[in-house]
Amino acid sequence: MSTVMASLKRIAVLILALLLLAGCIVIEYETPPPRADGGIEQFDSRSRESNPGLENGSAELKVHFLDVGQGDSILIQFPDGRNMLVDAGGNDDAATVVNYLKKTGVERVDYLVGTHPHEDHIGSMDTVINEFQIGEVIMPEVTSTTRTFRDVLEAIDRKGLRIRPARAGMIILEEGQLVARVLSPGGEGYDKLNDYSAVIRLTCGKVSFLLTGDAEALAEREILASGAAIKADVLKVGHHGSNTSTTAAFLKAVGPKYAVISVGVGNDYGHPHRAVLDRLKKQGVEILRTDKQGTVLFTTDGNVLSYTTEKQLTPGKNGT
Amino acid sequence: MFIIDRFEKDWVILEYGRKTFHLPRQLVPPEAGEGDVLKITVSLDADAAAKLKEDVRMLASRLFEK
Repeated sequence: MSTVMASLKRIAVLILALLLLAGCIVIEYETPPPRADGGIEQFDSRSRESNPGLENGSAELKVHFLDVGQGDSILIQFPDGRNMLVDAGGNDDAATVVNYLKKTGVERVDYLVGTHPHEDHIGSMDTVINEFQIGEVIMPEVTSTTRTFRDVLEAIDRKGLRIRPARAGMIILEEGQLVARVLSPGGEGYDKLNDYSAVIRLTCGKVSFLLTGDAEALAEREILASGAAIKADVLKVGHHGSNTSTTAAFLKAVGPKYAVISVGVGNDYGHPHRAVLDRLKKQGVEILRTDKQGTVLFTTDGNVLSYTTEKQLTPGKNGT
Repeated sequence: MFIIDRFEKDWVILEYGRKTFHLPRQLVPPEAGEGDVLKITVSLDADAAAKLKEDVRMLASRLFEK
């Protein structure tokens, strides 16, 4: 570089610094928008509520319920560009999860949560750990003997990471209008791994999400008894809509407007169970299902909440 | 090794390597729990197969045009 160029650059930096000091320039940081090939654009926009002031993609919280068939995987994009992934689908979902994160612009998973050690929740977590930069890993302090679980631990170990144990009362983050708090597990010595599910309440301003993993009636009772705030606009229905979960008392206390059921087409378990769907309908909750609508994306600025779905429901064919 | 990953309704979900598959719950000892390892031995039931073969042969022989 010539000395003339260097001194010009130095003067430019000086002017910029003076302008900044004088408060003449405000530098805005924006979260990277999804890439053009992101698939987001193909989403059904008819179901999106009108919020024209929020189309610039900044200062919004995005919660993606990925269609991973029979399993769970939820991507949360915070307004400042950080990301959280709650579960990573089953063993066969590695490409689905990794490709979705990449096309959404995710390079680093700041908070990686494995709700509990079942294969349909942590199956592809080892691949996520290997493919992305990872911040914190958060899981309940319980183990399984499966190869799937061991592979997750070995991937964590290879990266030199350690695991923050998920327990009721733990705060994952609390910054400004954003709070992510763990509501369960509240105890130990449970018989079933589902009872250890990390249940997370995520709040952005006036809007809340309740992510329940596979928590069943026992955990729901313990959460209610704990007295923790559990009201939420969006409920990720526990255990894929199994009748083991979403008890009437719990559902009433959460009082969601939307219920997301993460479930596989034609699964062998009859998920979601009719009784759960009936309980949701009775309470007037709008049901969104990944088996019928594909990936579901919620967006909020802390006041207005809207959603888009990957596929449209065909009335009379796959309506809930 | 066949490791029990979880139970779902009438099924046991077994992990074999990194693949999972289903086994009817009634085939598994009732005391089995998540994380337990199953020893599985498989044998042929020649009598049952012979009976099925004969049954279907008789049904088919009525239906095929001579």
